Amino acid sequence: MELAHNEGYVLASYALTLIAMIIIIGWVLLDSRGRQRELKRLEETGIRRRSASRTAGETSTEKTVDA
Amino acid sequence: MTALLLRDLRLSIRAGGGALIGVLFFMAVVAVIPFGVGPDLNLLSRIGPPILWIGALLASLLGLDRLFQADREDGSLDLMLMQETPLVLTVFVKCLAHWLSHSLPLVIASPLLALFMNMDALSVGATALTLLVGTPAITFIGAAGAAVAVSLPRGGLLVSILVLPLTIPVLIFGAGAAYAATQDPSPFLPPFLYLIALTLIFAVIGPLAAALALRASSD
Amino acid sequence: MTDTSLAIRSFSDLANPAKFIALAGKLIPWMAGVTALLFAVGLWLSFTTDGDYQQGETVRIMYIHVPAAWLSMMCYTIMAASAVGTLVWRHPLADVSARVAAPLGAAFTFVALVTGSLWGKPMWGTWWVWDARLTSVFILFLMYLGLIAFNRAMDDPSRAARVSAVMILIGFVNIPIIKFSVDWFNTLHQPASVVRMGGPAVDSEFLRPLLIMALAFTMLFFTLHMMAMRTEIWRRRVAAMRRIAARSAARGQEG
Repeated sequence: MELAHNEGYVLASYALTLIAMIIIIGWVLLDSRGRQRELKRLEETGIRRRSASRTAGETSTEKTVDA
Repeated sequence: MTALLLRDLRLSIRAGGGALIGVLFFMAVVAVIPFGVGPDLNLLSRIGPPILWIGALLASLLGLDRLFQADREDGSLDLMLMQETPLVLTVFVKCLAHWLSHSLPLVIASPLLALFMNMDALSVGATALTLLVGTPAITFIGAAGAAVAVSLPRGGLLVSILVLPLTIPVLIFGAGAAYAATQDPSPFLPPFLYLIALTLIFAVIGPLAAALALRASSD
Repeated sequence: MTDTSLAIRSFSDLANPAKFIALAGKLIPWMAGVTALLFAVGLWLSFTTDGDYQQGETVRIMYIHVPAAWLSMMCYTIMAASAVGTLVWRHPLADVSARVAAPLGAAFTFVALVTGSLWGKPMWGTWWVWDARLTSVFILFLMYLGLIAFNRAMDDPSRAARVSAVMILIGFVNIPIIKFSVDWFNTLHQPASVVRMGGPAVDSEFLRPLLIMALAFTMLFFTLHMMAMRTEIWRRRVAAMRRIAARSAARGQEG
C-alpha cells in the first residue's frame, strides 16, 4: 500500500467534507438570518400576528401562525 | 367495481388513453440500444433481458401519472373519494385496469422486441414471464407516487423521480431472474419468488399509501 | 383543523411554536459549542491514531464515511418519525421537522457517497463500485432528492405536510426491501475478491475516533435541525404576515 499516494485521498475526503459542511452550515445560518431580518422588518411596519392582535375574522389559512 | 374496471380500460384504450404511447416508448428504448451499444450479437443477447426490463420500467413510469390525473381533471376523483366503497379498493381496481391496459401490452410486445436483442427462446420466455409477474409491482407502488403528485401541475415528472428508487428492487429481481434463466450457476427460482413476493407486498402497500395520499391532498 | 389538545401531553408544550423558538434560542448555542468540541476531539483522534496495517492511511476516511452513512439513515428515521407525528397526532411542528431535515439528510448522504468513492479508489481501484452499502446509500440519496423536489413543488404547507408524510413513510417502508434486494444483487454479481470495509474487525483503536466523530456529526445534525426548524417557523410567520399586510392594504383601498 503506497501510503504517500493514499494520503491524497484522505486529504480530499476531509477537504470535501469540510466544504460540504461549510456550505450546509452557511446555508442554514444565512437562511436563519434572512428570515429574522424579514420578520423584524415586517414587525416594524406594524403588522400584528393573529395571536398578538386577537382580531376576529381571520381565516384558517393563518393557523400556521398561531404563536 | 367491475364497472370501474371496464370504464378505465375503455378510457385508456381510446385515442388519448396513452396505452399505445407506452408500448411505442418501450419499442423506442429497446430499438435504440443496439445503435448505442453496437451490433455485437453476443453482447446484445447477454444484455437483452435487462434492457427489456429497463425499457418496460421506463415505459411504465411514463404512464403512471395518468393513473389519477385524468380523473382529477374531469372531477371523477372527487366522486371516488366520496363513495362508500373503501378508497383502497377503488385504487386497487384502478391499478388493475392500468396494468391491463398499459403494462400487459408491454409484456406481449417483449418477445417481438427480444428479436432485436438476439435473445434465444428460453431467454425470451423467462423475460416475458418475469415481466408479467413484476410489472404489477411497478404499477402498485407507482400508484402511491401518482397519488402523491396528483395535485401538482407538473406532477408527471415528479412521479417518475419519486417512484424510481422504489422500483429498483423490482428491477433487480426481475432482470436478475430473467438473466439467471440462461446462466447456469444462477438459479431462476429464488429471484422469481422474490419478485412475486414484491408484487404481493406492493399490492397491499401501494393502494393503501395511494388512498392515504389522495385523502390527504384533498382535505 | 389542527387541534393541539389532541397531541400527547408531553409534546403539548413543544407543539407551541413560540415556546419551541424560545427553547431553540436557548439550546442552540450550547449545542453548537458541544458540536465544535466533539469535532475538535474527533479530528485530533482521527489524525493521531495509527493507520490500519491493511489499508494504511485510507482508514482515516472511515472516520467520516461511516458516520455520514449512519447519519443519512438516522436523518431519514427522524423524518419518518416526524411523518408519523404529522399523520397520527397532527403535531403542528412535525411537518416542519420533516421538511427541514430533508436537505440535511441529502447533504450527509452526499458526503457518504463522495467519501465512499474516495475510499474505494485506493481500495478497489475504481471510483465507484456497486457494493451493497454504496448502492443503498445512492438509492437513499435519490429518495432524498425526490422528497426535496416534492417539498419545493407544493406551496401550501398544510396540505403538503400530510402528503409529504405519506411519501416519507412509503420510502421508509421500502428501505428494508431496497437493502435486501441490493444485498441479493451483490451476492449475484460478486466480484472476485471480497474486500470488507473496515478490515477484519474494528479494533478499539479505531473505534474511539469513529464513535467521537459519529457523535460530533450527530450533534451537528441536531444543531442544524433545530436552527432550520426555527427558520422555517419564521418563514411561515413572514408569509402569514405578508398575507395580512396584503389583505389590509386591499381593505384600505376599498375603504
